[in-house]
Amino acid sequence: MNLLKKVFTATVLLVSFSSFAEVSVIVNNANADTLNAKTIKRIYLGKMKAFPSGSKVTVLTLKDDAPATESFRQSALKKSNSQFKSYWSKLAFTGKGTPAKELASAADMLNAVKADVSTIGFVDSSAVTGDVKVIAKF
Amino acid sequence: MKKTLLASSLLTAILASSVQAADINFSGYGSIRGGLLVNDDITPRYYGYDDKVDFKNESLFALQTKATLNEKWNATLVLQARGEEDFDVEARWAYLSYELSPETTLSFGRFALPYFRNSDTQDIGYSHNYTRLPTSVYLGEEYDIIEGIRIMHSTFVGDGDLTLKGSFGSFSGEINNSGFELDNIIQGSAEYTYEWFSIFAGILSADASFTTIGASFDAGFNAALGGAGYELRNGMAYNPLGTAVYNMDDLYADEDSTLYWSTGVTIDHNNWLVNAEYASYEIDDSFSEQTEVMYFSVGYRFDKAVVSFVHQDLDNNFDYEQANSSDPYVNSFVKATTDSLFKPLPYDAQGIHLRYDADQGVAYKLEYTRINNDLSNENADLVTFGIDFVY
Repeated sequence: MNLLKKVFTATVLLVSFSSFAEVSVIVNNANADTLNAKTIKRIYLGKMKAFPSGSKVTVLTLKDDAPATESFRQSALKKSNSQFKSYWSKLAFTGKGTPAKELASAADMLNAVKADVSTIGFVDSSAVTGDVKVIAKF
Repeated sequence: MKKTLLASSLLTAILASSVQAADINFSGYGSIRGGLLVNDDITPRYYGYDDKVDFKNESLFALQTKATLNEKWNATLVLQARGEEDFDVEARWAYLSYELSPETTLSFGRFALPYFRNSDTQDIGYSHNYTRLPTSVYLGEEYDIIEGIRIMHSTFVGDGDLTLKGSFGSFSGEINNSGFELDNIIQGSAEYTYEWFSIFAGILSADASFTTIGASFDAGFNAALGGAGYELRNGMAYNPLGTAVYNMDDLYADEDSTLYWSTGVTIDHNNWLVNAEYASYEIDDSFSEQTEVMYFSVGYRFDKAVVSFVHQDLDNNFDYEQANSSDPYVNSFVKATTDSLFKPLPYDAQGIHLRYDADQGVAYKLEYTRINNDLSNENADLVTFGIDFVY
């Protein structure tokens, strides 16, 4: 029985680890804003269109089916992909907001954030380099 | 095909901006839905189905083109083709937006008119968990577009978000050849969202006219009472003795003020979903009876599926305020006219809706609803199935 329990626990750990790899939220190195989890959520849900300092924010995302995207939406925004897309379809088609700009890969994301001080994005924590600043981890 | 000057100028603006390589974004939404009445003791209004399977009534496609002209301005055009209208393309939204600040946006042009909480998203099946938004509130009438100005402001109150919306403008179009017009539309709403719940309140006032319906009231009057010696002169009704007994203006709708007010609440907590709306509206000093509509739904979210139970109700109050004549025969005519227009309407319905998220941006929907007509006390059973998508 004990063995079964151990196997079960190990499986659960493995599953939760594989589906929720750690994601880092990144901004340009020159960005001096500090952002808490609540602010990041508001930015990705289109409720805040500027950084707390008042400068405009350009929101970036990875593809819907990228593992980092699913983890980020689930842990930082508390929404599954379909909930997130349903939510945004209400904003995007009624003039309430512009969905995040989609980038093809973690490398593209790092380059885009490095190049533009107004951006915010996320990548799998293992992909982070010194070219960008990590402001939160989920 | 509605080709407005506004839409074509916006399209021109969008295309011209493409020459300057502005940021242009295409996206869209749509639904393919089939349905039929499996029991049709009555054919309910507003649903558009009968006992033969139909794939046209609720199917639609929409394409949104959004051009970012610069930091502050953008132009948006939503072209929508509805099966109900033979897939004729209509410029559903066509507007220029100006970002006054990150919190405040002004828009100019044509928009969906937010009578009720979800009016501006009612066509986007993917955005909600039902096959269609409850029909008691969202009748799917055509007079849900406004040409004018809209302002939106969002701010934080405590840990929650407050969104304020206001619109000003007018609508003119054809509804069943009734010459329907809404002028001086003023609309305002407030929505507060905190973590897992949100509340909404909205109000809309306008001047409503049905310019051709008056003639049918006159014809009805003459047919009912003309033989008994009653007559109409300059909008006044005279009894056989020649005494003025009724002002037909109390029946006509001619720039009469109309007021809609609505409220709603949404809860999304631990995968339980509760959603309710109530609204009331009437055209003062006219044939119209006050209409009260509501729905209440409880749902549960499984991994990829959402099951919702929906109860909805539409009621009229029948206070016959317009039957104010000193002559009982005229009052009987007014009441009978009111009854013929409104008695068939009240109904309630109970249904089960299923949403299944099959793939990125694609949701399957299934529904079974029983619709009960209050007057006849008979019912109909509706089954619909379809696919909603966004891209």
